[in-house]
Amino acid sequence: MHSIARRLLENDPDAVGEVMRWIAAALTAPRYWSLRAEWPDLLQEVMARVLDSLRHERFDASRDLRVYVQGVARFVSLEEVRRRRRSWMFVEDEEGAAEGPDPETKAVQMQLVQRVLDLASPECRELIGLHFLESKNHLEIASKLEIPVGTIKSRLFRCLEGVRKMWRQHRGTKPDRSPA
Amino acid sequence: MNDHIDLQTELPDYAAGRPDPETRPRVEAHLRTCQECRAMLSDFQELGRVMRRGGTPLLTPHPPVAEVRRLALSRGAAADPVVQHHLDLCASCSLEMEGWRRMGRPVVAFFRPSWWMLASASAAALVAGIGLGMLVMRAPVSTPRPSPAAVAIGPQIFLPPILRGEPGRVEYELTPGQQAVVVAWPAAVPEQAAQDALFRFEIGRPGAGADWSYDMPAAGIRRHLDSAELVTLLVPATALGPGRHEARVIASGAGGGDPLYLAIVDVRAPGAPQ
Repeated sequence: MHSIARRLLENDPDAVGEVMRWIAAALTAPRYWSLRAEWPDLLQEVMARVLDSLRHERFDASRDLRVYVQGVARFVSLEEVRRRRRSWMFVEDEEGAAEGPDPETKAVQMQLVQRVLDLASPECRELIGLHFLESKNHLEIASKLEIPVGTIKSRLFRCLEGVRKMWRQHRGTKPDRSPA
Repeated sequence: MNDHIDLQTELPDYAAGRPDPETRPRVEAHLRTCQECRAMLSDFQELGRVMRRGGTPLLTPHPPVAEVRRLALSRGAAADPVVQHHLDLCASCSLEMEGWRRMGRPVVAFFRPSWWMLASASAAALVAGIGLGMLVMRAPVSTPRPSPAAVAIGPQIFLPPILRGEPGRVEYELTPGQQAVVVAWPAAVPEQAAQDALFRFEIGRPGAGADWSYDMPAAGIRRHLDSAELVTLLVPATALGPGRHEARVIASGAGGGDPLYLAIVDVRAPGAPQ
């Protein structure tokens, strides 16, 4: 049996924590934001279903346990969405948000940005932090990191382009049209 | 096209409101004709706005699993300010904390009624004359914590409504090895009760103190009743040993006032004659 799966059944705190983290990451996806009041209950339900599957050996050990667990989490979330017959909340477009997003939209945007920054490389996170949080321009970043300014320009652009791509995927925005 | 690619690398500085004065006119001229660059600029600007709102916690890594667990389970433990700021902002970390807190309560509530339980619950509720939309789970209790993998939950107890001021009565037979019981309470809270007023759900022998109890604010009870018309709690089987019990709801801090709700539960050991 998969080692984390076995340790989960043995109630190993590290394994429980790891699986809980996978579930939490899946449940808090912006598309399920409308379920946030139910997240703790859903987390429990997902954990119960995963444990049940493991106990009854319904989980194929050759599969990636994380993918499986997060699949269960998404399935449970979708069931809940259907049950409530509520439409999902999406951040539709940047124009609407720029006009003054409500607190809920702001919170969703924040989670979304955090999620895509989680996926960025440490180097990109550093560059993006210097640029947006420390308000440094290309020249200042180049000077701080002692790297040629041209290199900083292209690296920062590549980082932001990658983050933007993931951001648009997560929020369900259609891909760009062909370049002008 | 070369200009298009070259000028795109200027967009981050432009989005941050600090464009290079030398290239600015070219960037602006290009933006007037290039839809792709305008969309990209708009996204970068939005990203910058959100990042400035969130601050450095957006870039700090998630605390290790063990640290989240420690903070969740050690009441009042101080977190590093950076970690605390991250926890305040990060929805998934907050959810992990809540998950650990629920586990940290004496009986684990890794349980939420599934469709088959809802179906059986609904059928039983119909028989009992109780409207039931869904069950909502909470983790109470006061006995040692079993493994989440090992909690054995038997059939549910549907407590009866109070009829003509008389407490209802229900019988229940424990199953072998049962560790917990799901108890559904047709409780109500007074309309005038403040949202943060606490109410205690408890189980104890008649005329004696509680063997198990769980406090819930009026707001929580109302939320459950709105969606389910019942408050469903997980009770350790040790609090429902063979014999007669009372299921009570009282206003916390009422100093032993009359219960708002009372039902008699007669429990039989597994296999005991009726």
